[in-house]
Amino acid sequence: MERDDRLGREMTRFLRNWSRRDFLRRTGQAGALLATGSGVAAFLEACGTGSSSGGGASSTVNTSGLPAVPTVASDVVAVAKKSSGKTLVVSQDPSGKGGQVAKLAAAQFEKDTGVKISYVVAPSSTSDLYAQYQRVFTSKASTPDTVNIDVVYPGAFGQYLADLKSVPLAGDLAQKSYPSLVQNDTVSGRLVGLPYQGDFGFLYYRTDLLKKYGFANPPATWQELTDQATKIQAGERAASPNFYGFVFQGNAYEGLTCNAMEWFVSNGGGNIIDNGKVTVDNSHNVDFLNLAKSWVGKISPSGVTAFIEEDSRNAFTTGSAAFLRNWPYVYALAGDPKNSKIVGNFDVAPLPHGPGGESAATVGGWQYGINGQSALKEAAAAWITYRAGPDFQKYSAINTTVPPTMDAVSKDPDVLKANPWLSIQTNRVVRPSKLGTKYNQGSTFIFQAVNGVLRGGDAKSALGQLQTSLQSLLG
Amino acid sequence: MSSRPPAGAAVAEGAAVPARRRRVRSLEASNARFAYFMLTPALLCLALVAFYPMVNTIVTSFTNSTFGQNTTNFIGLDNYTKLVQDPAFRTSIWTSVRFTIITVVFEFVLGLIVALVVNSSFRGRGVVRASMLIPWALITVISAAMWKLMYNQIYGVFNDILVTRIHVLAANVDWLGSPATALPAVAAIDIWKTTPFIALLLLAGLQLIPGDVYEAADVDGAGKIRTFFSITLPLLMPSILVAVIIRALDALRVFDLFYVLFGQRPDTTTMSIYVQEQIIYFGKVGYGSAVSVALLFIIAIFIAIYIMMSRWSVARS
Amino acid sequence: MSAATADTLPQQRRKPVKVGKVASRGLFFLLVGVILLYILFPFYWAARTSFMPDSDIYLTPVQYWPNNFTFQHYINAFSETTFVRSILNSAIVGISATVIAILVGSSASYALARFNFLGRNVALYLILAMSMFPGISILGSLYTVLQRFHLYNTLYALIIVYLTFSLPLMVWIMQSFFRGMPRDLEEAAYVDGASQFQTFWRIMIPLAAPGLATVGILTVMGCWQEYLFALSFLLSSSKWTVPLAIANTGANQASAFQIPWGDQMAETLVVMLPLIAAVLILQRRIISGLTAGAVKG
Repeated sequence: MERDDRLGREMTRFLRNWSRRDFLRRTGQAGALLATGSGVAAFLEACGTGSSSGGGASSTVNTSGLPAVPTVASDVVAVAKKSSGKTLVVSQDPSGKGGQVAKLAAAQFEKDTGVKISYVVAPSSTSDLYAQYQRVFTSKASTPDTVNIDVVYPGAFGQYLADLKSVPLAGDLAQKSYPSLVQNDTVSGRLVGLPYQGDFGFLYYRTDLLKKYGFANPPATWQELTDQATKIQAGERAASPNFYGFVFQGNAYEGLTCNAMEWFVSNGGGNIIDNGKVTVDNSHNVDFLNLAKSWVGKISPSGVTAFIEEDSRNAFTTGSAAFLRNWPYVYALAGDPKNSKIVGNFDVAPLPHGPGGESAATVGGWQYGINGQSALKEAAAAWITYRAGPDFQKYSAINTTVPPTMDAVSKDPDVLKANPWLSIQTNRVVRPSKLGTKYNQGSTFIFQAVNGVLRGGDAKSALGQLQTSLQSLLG
Repeated sequence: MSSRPPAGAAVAEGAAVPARRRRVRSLEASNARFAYFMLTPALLCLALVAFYPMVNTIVTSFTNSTFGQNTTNFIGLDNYTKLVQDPAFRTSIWTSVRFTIITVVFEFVLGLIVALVVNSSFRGRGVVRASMLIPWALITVISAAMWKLMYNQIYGVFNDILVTRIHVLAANVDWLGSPATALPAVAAIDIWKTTPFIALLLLAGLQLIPGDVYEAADVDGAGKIRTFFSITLPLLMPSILVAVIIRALDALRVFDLFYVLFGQRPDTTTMSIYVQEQIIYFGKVGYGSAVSVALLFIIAIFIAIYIMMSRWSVARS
Repeated sequence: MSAATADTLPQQRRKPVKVGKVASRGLFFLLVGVILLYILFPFYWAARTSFMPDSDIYLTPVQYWPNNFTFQHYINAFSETTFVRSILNSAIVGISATVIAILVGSSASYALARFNFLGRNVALYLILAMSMFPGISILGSLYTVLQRFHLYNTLYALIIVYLTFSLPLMVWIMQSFFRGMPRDLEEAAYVDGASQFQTFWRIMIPLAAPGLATVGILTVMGCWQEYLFALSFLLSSSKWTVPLAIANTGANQASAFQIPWGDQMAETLVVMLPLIAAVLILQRRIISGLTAGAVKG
């Protein structure tokens, strides 16, 4: 074959030019290449280590446009100064305004106490973060010193976290948070989490549309919501074929568990697990799921069974929905002309309730925890006391619309002015985090069951199966 | 050219037979030593990065290791008995297999078409060949997220084109959300991404076929279709088999795509997602390891089928 | 190889069909057009998204050309140090892993292709068996191994893992490549007194260059895109590779729920273009590498 001839000619040419020196040179080249590769990698390692302990935190120049963060309180300084010069490794989500605030906080803390803060990234996806912490704890790593625990995970990570009652300051501060949060963060008698962000769900509605169709008030019951949404949608469909009455998060994921809890509790169906017993299979819940099923494809898009927060938020802020159930973060976006077409035409209200029930709001949010293996527990306690203290919570609430976890801060007039939705009176409910390490499994049973019904499945049998599955988890 | 072993020089010396056998054996030994030396780095890497972890996983599959529990006990085959009765696991196998079949078939057919097109000469062929590599260069997790935007029921571009512009469909479809279209939709993403790679493999194979074969067929009066099926396809078979098995193995193990798009949805859980769910999300490390081993076993079955098929096709030609 | 070489490789020659020749030619170009559209449309969509403000993405009617054209996302991309640094990290990891994999893989392939020794088949099947391993199955154990060697949160961890996972494909292609080459040159080298290693290094490797280029490209592309291991083994954002940096882009949105589409698309395109340029330059090598004996099965 001609191919072989060509190869043959090339081969012969190489052989003729072969020499010992050439061989050494080529080996040298390869070796140099290897060395360069590893050398650059090593250099970057060194660089990386150097800069990550700075992590932008050492700069005290504030270029973010945010006002100055609060200074560190004197009792906190007293505790932290004992570890002055050491570096605390803190888990932090670097994205958004929260990330910028974190940089300012680290700079301030170092200035006031001498303790350096080094941030390691907390991935923005909760399940990625869960996986990361699993790895950290099972390998008994001593860093990061502080971690951010989602409100449903104190039970899962409790045994790996330090008891805040045994470190200075943090335990006392935690008692100032909402009682349901404190109780949530207490695992086997140990207080493992210090709440710093307290999301809860509520109803957003279009004030202009309510007025247009003659509704004086936002719906108080779920049936009223259905009726109002149906009428408004019918009227708006002529102008916008993609208009829907009510959007929420119906995807098979954690957010649906949040929605489902609100539905069940507000309709008198209990908290899924009450006093250690599974109570989810009852007639109230069956009725509600049938109602929710009737929404899909009628007043909610058929795609609502795949909606997460942003999908539902977009439907609302682009003007394609009359009612929305979502977290507080939507408020600022809906009022921003760059992101919303409904500026000035929306307001908030507690979620509707069932007959004879009370409005309920699932609690979201975060708590600080201290790694049980940390060598700097006291410094860590000082840091999280600073970050979750009333002054900082007020700062965060005003500048980044982070919901506070303390009643005192929620009622502060400046905070209320920036976040009017904080005045919503509602019953805050917590998901069954007492399932501990089995929480993910339990929540998966719940959201898969509810999602199945929303997609057309039978409510009675779904809840019956859910009852059995959850009961088997409890042991 | 005969392939005389380098020991031929010794033969030419006309030395005594026992001495030659000694030299041959010592040469073989030296060759073997050299071969072992050359193999060592690869085997070392594999031992550390692949085999030790895999053995670890297999051992763990016989325990009840769970995240959060500090004691771990051997429980024999309990995990496997549970696995066999697990409907979610069976569903995940079926989902993976369906995904594999859809993607491999479409990638093969489309890849073949693209390869045939690019193999013929026409103006602008260079452009097409160059652009074939673009889907490959877009990072998977990001392009998956972007396809999600394109598939969106309300503002997605596919619905816009199909419903609003060309009016082929009556109403906006929730491509990724509704179970009927979810798997084909995600398969379309994978097909878009990998068809160029398959096309390249097949193109290489096509270019190996000498032109004389086609001339002979022409002279014999064979039509284009007949030429394709009786000549091109059989000659291309080795390349096809390589492409198919590589793709099938990748498709069976797919993870990133489904993780980014779907999370824990029951109707789109593939085997890898199921493993992730059990080991990481639920913390059931022992049981999840058993699922991993089962996954390995299923892949091995596919490979066995492939080997049988390739032996059969080689025997035929 | 000159530019003409690839085009003069044996090709399918068809006797022109006189009737309907124009029609069939037109159909052919229609097919080419459809293929191009299919391949390039998502790329166009990514580009469009990168030039428009995020809030416009959700509007209906869909904008095929941005109403509010903006370069802001590209400015954001380049001012985000994590992203810029991640390009460097990915380049280091990709190149190191590929170079080492080529050395290790071609050595192993040569041994397997040319020598008969005890355990040869076992070694071959072991190496190929690796392509069966799902990454997720060994994630936990691999993490433990890396921890023990203090490699967690280092780029070295990724280099070792990527090079190992690229070995099966490399060995697969290279060993059939080596097997397809005639032995004369090696024999001549032995006669001249070269050792086995010198023969390998000085003769076989340069000849295998097209094949090596192919697998090199495949490996680099794979390393560039790998997400799961990078996510699991890297903790500091200064060590992040490109997929991590892009997926966690987020300096500019208000809340954790939002996804900065425009920024992500801009970053993806920024990363993609040099990759594509490199591939375009080397694409002839890729095809000739695959042609020259690799795809023999």
